[in-house]
Amino acid sequence: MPLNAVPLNRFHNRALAAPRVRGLLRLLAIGIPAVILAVGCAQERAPEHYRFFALGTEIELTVVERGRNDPGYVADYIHRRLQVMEEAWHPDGNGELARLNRRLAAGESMEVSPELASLLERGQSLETASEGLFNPAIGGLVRLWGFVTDTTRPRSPPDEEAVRAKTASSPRMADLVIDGTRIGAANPAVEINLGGYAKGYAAAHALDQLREAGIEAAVFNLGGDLVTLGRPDGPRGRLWRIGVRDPRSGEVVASIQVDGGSAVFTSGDYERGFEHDGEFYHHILDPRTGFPAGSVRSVTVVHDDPVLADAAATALFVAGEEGWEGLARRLGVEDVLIIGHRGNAWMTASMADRTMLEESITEAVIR
Amino acid sequence: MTEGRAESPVLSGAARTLVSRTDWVVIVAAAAAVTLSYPLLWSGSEGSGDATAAVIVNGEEHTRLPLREAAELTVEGALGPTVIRVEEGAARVVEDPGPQQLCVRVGEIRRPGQAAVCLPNRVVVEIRGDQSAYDAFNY
Repeated sequence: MPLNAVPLNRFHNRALAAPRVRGLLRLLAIGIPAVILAVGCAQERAPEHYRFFALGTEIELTVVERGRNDPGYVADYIHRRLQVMEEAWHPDGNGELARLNRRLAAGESMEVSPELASLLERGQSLETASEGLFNPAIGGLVRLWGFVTDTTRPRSPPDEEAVRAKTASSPRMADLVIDGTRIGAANPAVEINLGGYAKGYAAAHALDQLREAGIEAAVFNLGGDLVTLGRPDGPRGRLWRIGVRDPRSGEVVASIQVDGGSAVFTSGDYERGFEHDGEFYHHILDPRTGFPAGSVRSVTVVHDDPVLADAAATALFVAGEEGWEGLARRLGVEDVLIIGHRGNAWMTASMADRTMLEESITEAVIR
Repeated sequence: MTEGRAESPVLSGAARTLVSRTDWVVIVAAAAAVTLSYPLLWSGSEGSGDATAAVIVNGEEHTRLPLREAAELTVEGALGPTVIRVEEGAARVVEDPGPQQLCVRVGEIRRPGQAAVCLPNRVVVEIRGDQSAYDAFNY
């Protein structure tokens, strides 16, 4: 047989026996498994979790798509920044805010950091927008109720007269005189407590850091209040599915879909408080009465401004069953879910579009 | 130059000229690689339908307790011991040093996404399962 002749097979088919075809078959034999392995590897990227404690709560950063960078470094940085905030804004001790409050009580003014000054200005405009239902200047009342210290002693509600007197002294953010970074107050009863919007501010800061670090998809969760970045399955993929959980039962009561850059904040009557004589006193005080606001169980707000989401959730909780609708409109908050004491729910139309309620909700009204 | 002179012992006749021994080595190796990679890459995180209770202490995952196995676990938190019990497909916190006992009062949790949070003691018990419907929880 000549050297260059190709042996014929049973089917008299020259093509299959040609070296080129065999080369192609070898390529497929290697190529197909290689593709399968590559796709398998891509599937396996599980979310990365970073957890730490700050601002009095457990904080969890879940990175679903890290992009080019290692999230560990930015997680660490955020952790440290939040610890600095916690120390600076703790109502007791020697942080900047505690020192400011002591000066204001003495009728004096003080220079503060630009960060605190701008937070106080924001607090003023939120108080105005919420018609006083959101009022960070009632730190004295919060202290009277014992919600300032993380005490483990059993507590009892304060004397009603004391509450009335403190409320009557009417401390308001509007009493603050803000001159650049110099803060004074026209009313010595003013005591600032940033609890109503500190988490919102921290969340916004964390989101900025994550974006700058090139993280592509993540959720930053501060003890239940969270912000999102990107989308879980890529920029053209689905939205985030957030389960709204009832702390009493541990059950998810609603499922909300949100896009990247969204804040989901909830104010509820079961977060902090104490029980006394069979009654539970929670920590969201109505600035008008000085007592815990009572008419609903929880308020969930979705908005792309985390500070507004945080403050609005509080203000709408205080507004309650009767006042929440009008207040939400005035605050410019379109996505609101309220759970009432009977397990019933109210929602805005925009929130209803992105929400699925679970069976435990007894009735739902869309406004 | 024609190649594939090493005859394949498996195939008969005409096919031998198509698939040489070298080719067989490649095919078998590739098939083995794909098969062995399956449990590593494709089988998902927790196997089929087995819910577990993840116990997280001070921000770090401490243990995963499968709900189908009765068990009792004590972990040391910031204030003292938290005792978690798994029985009859559910987990619950039976003891915790927290002043409000919120995580004890939650009672039994069994569905993925449910959790008992003992905040003062820095202990969280969270049910994990296959394909949890939620990316994150708000509360």
